[in-house]
Amino acid sequence: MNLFGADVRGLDVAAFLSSARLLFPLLALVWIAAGLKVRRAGWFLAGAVLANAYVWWETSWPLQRLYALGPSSDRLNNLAMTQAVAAGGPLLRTAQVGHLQFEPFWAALTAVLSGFDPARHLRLYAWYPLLTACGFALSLYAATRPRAGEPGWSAGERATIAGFVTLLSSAPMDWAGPYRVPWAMTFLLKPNHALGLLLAPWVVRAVAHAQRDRDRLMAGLLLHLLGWAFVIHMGALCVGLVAFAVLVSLWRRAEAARAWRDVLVAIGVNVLVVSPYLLLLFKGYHVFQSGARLQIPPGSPHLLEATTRTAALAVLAAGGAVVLFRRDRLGRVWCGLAVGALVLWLAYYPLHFLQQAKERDDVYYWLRVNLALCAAVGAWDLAGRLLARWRMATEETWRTAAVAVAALPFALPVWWDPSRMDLYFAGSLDPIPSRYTQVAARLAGDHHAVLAGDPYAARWMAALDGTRVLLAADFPAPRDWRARLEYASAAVCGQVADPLAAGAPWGVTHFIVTPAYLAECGVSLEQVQGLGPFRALEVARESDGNFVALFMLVPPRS
Amino acid sequence: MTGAPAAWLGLSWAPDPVYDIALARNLAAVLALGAGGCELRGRRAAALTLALAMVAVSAGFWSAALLRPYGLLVDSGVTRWAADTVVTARAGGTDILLAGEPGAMTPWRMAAERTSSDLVLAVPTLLPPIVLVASVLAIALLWPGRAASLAAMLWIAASTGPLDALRGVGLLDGIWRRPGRAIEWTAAVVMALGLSRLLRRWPRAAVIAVAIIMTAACLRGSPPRLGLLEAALHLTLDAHVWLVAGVAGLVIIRDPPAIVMAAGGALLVLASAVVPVFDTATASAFARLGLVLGAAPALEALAEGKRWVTAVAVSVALAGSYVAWWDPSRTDPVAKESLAPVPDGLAQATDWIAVHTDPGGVFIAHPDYAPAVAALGGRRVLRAPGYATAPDDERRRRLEQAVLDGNWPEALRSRYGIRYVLLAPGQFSERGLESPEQLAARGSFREIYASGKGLHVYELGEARR
Repeated sequence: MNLFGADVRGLDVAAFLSSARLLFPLLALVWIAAGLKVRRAGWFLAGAVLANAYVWWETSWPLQRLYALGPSSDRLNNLAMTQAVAAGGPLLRTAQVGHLQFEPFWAALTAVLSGFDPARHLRLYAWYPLLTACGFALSLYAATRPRAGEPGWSAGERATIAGFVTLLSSAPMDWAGPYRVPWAMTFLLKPNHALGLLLAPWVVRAVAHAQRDRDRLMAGLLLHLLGWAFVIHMGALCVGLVAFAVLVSLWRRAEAARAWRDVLVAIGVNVLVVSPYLLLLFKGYHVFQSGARLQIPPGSPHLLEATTRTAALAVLAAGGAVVLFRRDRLGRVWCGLAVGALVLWLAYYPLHFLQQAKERDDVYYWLRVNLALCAAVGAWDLAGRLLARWRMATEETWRTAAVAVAALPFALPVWWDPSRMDLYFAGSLDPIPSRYTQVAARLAGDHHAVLAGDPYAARWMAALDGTRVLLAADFPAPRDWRARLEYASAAVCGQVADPLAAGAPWGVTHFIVTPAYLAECGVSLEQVQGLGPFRALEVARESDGNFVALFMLVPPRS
Repeated sequence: MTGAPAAWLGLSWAPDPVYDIALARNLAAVLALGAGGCELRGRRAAALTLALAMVAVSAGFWSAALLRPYGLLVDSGVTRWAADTVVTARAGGTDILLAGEPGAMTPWRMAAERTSSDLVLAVPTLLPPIVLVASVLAIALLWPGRAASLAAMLWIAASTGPLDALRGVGLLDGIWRRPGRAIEWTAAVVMALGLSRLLRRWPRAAVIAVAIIMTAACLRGSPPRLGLLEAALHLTLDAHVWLVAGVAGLVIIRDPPAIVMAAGGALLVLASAVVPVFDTATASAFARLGLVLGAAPALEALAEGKRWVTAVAVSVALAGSYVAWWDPSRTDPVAKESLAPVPDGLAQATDWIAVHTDPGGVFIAHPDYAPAVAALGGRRVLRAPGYATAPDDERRRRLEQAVLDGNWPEALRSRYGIRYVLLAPGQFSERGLESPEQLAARGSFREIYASGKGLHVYELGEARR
């Protein structure tokens, strides 16, 4: 069964995806033609929103499990972190005992949306990409509307922005590049990051329109909220705001003092309020850890990734940035954000040499989003000039339609082929292995259980049911990771007389083992079953011989 | 020895697809910007030269990066072609890689016979930059239009776009897969543009000549194929700005041969969806070329003498072009595997075979190595399942079994000219051979080669009976 309850086992996935790609341009052209009759910018905005929904639907329909659950370590980790809160655990803790949340806002939000029900959380999670992608388009449209009496930012232009930023920030050959397809990697894989994108336009608006101290304070608070949602977007936005102030100081000196005041107050308030979270990050994560992996990939021409990989978009963005800067204060802040994103991207050169080039992918997607926004403004401006020059209809509806038709070939749904372009699609076609669901069902509702044993299987349990675990694979290692590892291994090998007592510092109540873990420990399933303190609750076997075994710890007989 | 095709260009090293690609792309971007800069200064010839250099760097990088001829021992079709070609050159005769099976003497086989089989094997791998550079030069030098050089530069970007590539009909991606087609298409373009120039005072004759050449080049359709709707989308969506600018330009300049290429190519693309006799990719390349020949004057008209407009267009088109960002290691699994050289042990053994065995002697080899014996060693084989099957395959299989048993009918052996057996550990275990050395005990075999990698060549003597 897929997300919508349809049986898709017999679906010809290649034919389905091919048909979806062929159908979309026809639907889009009909929609655009109808837009000329309807003559409302909202129609085009709805088209952009529906196009995002189309990509999400096209990708989700053939899947018999939550997208990327299993093939992507990130997806498993994020679910394991948020399920712990959905299962009623403390807000700042993840499923791994003693581990602090990386994105507590997301965990809290999803827990509330699920009604603190892990099973519902799992079902709802599939819809978050849809909500965030469509929500981002709507957020941009709403947050760029002009205040009463102000010129610029027509509805048609804002609909164009919504369409460009969501559908044109990814390019047809991105999948062959080092950072893959931004839309898929942001909305499909990490809706938690996309949440930051939803908030960002409102922070920009708040800073641009700040006139009184109260407004600046509000901008700072909004910025801090963005920090709780996704700290990298907060940092990138801060850099963008500083870039805005610098640009204004260079070319609009009369506005410079106000710009600096607004920016510094907003950032200052943000830093003050968000500092506990930053401390939490420093404490829980190895923020300054360096390593060879934290360099620019050798095959990636770093500067060109931001410029000539999408050359036409970059040229339109350059034109759009100039138009934005000349337009009004809101435009100047958006222009600053694009310049700041580029500066941030260039900052990876020195970071590369320090082996500190972290989170390049997220910064890259941020840059692409900002370039697409500027490109939308550039395209809108260019369309206006060309239509006027050719003495064609300059009415806004026609202009919007003209830009939409010109951009259509490059729009995501026209070329999106998840079977070829998405790393996680193929691995998500089959249902979750029954050995995991079977054991998770056995654990369901036991919110006091703490699982030790195979960190990979334990992470599955955390992701499926919010069960707390001693160690989860690919989670940041706790300070006492070695002691935890040794405890679990010794207990399974029968070297711990009372595993329940020995595991008490972490609250261990259950063990989960797999053939790989048992082989690593050098024992067999039968040997573990023979251990007194290990009471077998479930041995879930697959037809290929793979299994997951769940044990409950009991006090040893005296 | 069949090594890296780029060795034929005198390169003693091959660029690394991971560590050198960023440098190549940066260089290509600099050349693209340089071309734009020259265009800005009104030096179009210099701009064209830099654009050609960009093509040479971008496409040439991957030609040079392959450490074996494209698809050799990776793709069955390419390997079969290579085997037929090499045995013709080294063992003579008209038989294909299977002894006793005559085949048509293709131009490739004839060329190998007269030159060097290694060179012929290298040609398809080296073709991408050659085809692009040749077509660019043909446009610049032969097309009589005023904006010929500009069209030539735009062609670099327009010849293959990302959307064409994703649909499987990109010119650049198809060159390795269909080298013969690529050469034919290039020749057809040269002829069509040349005749357009020669017959420019007789436009009707030029139109007829171009139409005939184009139709002839599009005959003998082969995959990839598109459905009718997909073909229509390819001609419109995939062509995007080239369609708009091309149609506008063709309306302005009214150049009959260019119009025939654009319209005729489009019709042939649509026809190929219905009648498989026409080749979709070839027709699509003609249609795109016609549009580009129109787009160049349209761009000049739009620029109204402002050189910065054409300069920006050239820079953006070149720097963002598919060829500048081409990465077959990610988009073409066959190319990815061709980045690795032929395994040392196999290369050494087949080199030895090429030098020390009788060119007319036929080999028995396991299906894993039979194509290598032919394609690398240049010796024919009795059987090569998966690559070629003779009508008398069952008889050959029985003979193969009899030889491995050491008990073969001499008349049948000499009919096929079998003289050698190539064996590696684990091969023919289903025939009861636990190790190559066991073969010697089964009959009159003389070991004439043994490598440290476990490969053995045995020469057949007298049969036991």
